[in-house]
Amino acid sequence: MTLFRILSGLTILLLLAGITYDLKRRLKVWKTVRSSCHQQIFAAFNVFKEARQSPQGNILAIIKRAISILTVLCALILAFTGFFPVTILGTHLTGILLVIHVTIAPLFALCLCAVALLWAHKLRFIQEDWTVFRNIIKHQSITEERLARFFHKLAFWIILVLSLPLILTVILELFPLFGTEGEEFLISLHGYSALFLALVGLIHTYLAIMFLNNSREH
Amino acid sequence: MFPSKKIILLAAAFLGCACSLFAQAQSTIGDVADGNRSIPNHLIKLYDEFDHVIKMDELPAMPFSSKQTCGKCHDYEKIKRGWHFNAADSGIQSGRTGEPWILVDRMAATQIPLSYRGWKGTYQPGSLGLSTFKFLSIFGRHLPGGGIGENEQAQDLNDYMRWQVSGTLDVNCQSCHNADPAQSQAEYGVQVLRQNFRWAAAASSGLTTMQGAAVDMPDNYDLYSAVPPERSNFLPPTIHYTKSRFDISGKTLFNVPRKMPATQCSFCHSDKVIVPEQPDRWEHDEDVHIAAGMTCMDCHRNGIDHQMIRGYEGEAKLIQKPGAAVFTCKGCHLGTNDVPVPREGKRGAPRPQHLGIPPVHFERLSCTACHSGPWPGDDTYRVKTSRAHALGIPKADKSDDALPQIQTPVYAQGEDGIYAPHNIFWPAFWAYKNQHTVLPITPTLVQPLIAELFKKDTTRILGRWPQLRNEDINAILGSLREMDSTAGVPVYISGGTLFRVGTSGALETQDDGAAKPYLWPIAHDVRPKAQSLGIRGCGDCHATDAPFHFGSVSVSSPYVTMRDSVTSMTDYQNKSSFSAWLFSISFLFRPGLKLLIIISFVLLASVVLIYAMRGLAQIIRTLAEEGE
Repeated sequence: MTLFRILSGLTILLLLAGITYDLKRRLKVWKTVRSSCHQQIFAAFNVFKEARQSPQGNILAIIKRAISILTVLCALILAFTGFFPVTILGTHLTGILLVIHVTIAPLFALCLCAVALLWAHKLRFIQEDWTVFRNIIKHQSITEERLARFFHKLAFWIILVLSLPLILTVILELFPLFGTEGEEFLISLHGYSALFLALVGLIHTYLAIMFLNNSREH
Repeated sequence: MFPSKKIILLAAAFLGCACSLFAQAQSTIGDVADGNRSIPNHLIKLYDEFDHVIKMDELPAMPFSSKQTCGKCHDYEKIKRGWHFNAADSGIQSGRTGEPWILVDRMAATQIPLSYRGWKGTYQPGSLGLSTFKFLSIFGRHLPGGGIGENEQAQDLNDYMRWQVSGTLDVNCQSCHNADPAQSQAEYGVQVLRQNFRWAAAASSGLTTMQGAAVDMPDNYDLYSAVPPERSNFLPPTIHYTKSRFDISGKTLFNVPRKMPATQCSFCHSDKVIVPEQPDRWEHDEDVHIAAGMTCMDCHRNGIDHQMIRGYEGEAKLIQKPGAAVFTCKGCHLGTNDVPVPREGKRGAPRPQHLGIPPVHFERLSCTACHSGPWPGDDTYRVKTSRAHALGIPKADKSDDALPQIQTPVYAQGEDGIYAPHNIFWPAFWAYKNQHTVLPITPTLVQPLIAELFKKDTTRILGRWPQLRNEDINAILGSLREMDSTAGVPVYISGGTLFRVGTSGALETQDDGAAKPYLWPIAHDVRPKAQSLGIRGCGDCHATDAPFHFGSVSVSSPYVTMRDSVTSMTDYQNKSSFSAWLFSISFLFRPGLKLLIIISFVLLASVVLIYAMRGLAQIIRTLAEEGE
């Protein structure tokens, strides 16, 4: 658990440092970084408001929106209940936090499942992505929009793939199949899967915001 | 003509070495093993307390002394500092809380934990007016001698004459080491209760017949003089040796095996759990280790210093013996990192698998939580222990509700924060309370006051406890104030509450640290794996009615409105009943949640697999096209 604490703490801190550095690089002055963050928060509220006021569209669109919101909410709760006691307090996940965690987890799994079913086809890799991938490797220029779309797809599939060990480890833990060492291994695997999932999720969200920001400015 | 300095120095060095070797050989002749695993024959002469050889035809016959007899070959000075004897010694690590001595006085409505070890919640016997002599006269029945039994500095001057009559209660080696079927620990207990301290070891050895009691002798009684006329109807302490047990040279054979059977320890370390559904002895099982052929000493080992390994986690560090960690539950069954080479699996100890049990259990619970003590019921059970209830002593109260009333098992958090099964009992005593301290009052002072109350009211039921009502407690507290108005505020502590007379004259209750119940962890009897908590699943502890969290702990008190009260197990677990209930209720939905997760996983895995296959097909196709 100590190793996990160190690694998770370090990676999250590194990621936040990276994001801060990137923000600073893009916006040059700290004051601008702060005001940009404020703007982003207001923008997020506005987007949410607009989305509520805009015509609802078909049922599928409503379901998609509901599922996206629910998935993000569940992910946030799970990340808090999972990482807070282990990484910050250095204890096992027990008590009320565990109750919340295990109650929300199946809902999150269902949401992920729905996300996969609803967006998998739309976000599948196509010939164009292959070209983008090759261009990245060859250091050739790619439009930001294509790059963003590629990373969006990549993040989507990484999240789906990482969620498999995340869920499987829980299933295996819940049945009397493994002894103490096995259980400990499953718990750490669950933790590392969750950590990478969270990191990918964070990177994805940051890049998406930046892309939206840029496209709005242009 | 004088020898040179060198020669003098050499001679001095040689003499020094010789003396030290001689001294070493003197002290360790029976303590240093040469490696031979056979059992040494103990055909030996006996010595009395004055170091004189016991002779059959001598009158009056003196009891042999273990100190002198065994001390010939074993280091008595080292042995007497062992765990069984060192309770009152200063500078001794008292270690984890253990079973106290419980002073019970039914007619004073008193049961109070005593210990020389200073465990939190116990009182020094002296604080209740118990001198070492009086303490031994009550509890010495289950003490193997030594310690306060022979420490002259701890003796009260007022008892000087009685010590002269009774003699010292030296370490009785035979208590633990004499495997002779004639060795009787019950006889030892009886002799100690008769204050025949110097005779007790010999009387219980099976080599003698003992008559008379020191307790009946006057203060001026002398071993070598006749009984004073005023006590002529009492027999003085007299011992007779069984001649057939001695050979022609006056030697007798002691059966001293290296490993004593568990029954030898059981005299002082038995308990009887009163399970109403299993009233008969044949329905109870013994500890799984004993049933497997082990003895107590397989785990509770010691060297010549007699520092017994108690076997709890953390003891090795406390007593600074890293090797002791091997003899804990974990040490044997799982191994320990505290020793350089693997030493697990001792005595074929199986390594537990604990399939499907989340590892947090092994950090929060002691091994004993799931494996030891009786299987918990909705309510705690009464338990009688050797030391608290004088089990094994003739005429001991055999009834199941004998005082003191101890309950088991209580799944409480110990001093180390780990959950473990405990025995619990509720102190009940009268005291004077000062600003910060509670000074217990000797039961003999209160007895007449309660007796007076009951004499006036013949309709009152006495029962196990005298039933005390508000007005009774109030009256007794008033009398105690009259007795000594400077000692402090008279209070009565019982059932976890402190009673005092308020300013209005009415009885008031308040919480006080001194009223807290006394708990001590238990480790035996260990149940087999198939009878461990959790064997039927999480519900054994995490059901909404599981005794582990939701069992009731009975409160024992003579106070009439408290007699049948109970507390919840969570009161001892540093958590609220609600949070325990909330956690438990989540287990009701877990099968459904498990199903949801499995369905989600299958769907998710299918989606990933389908698109992975399609992606793979596309890559193959693209590579093929590019190749062409």
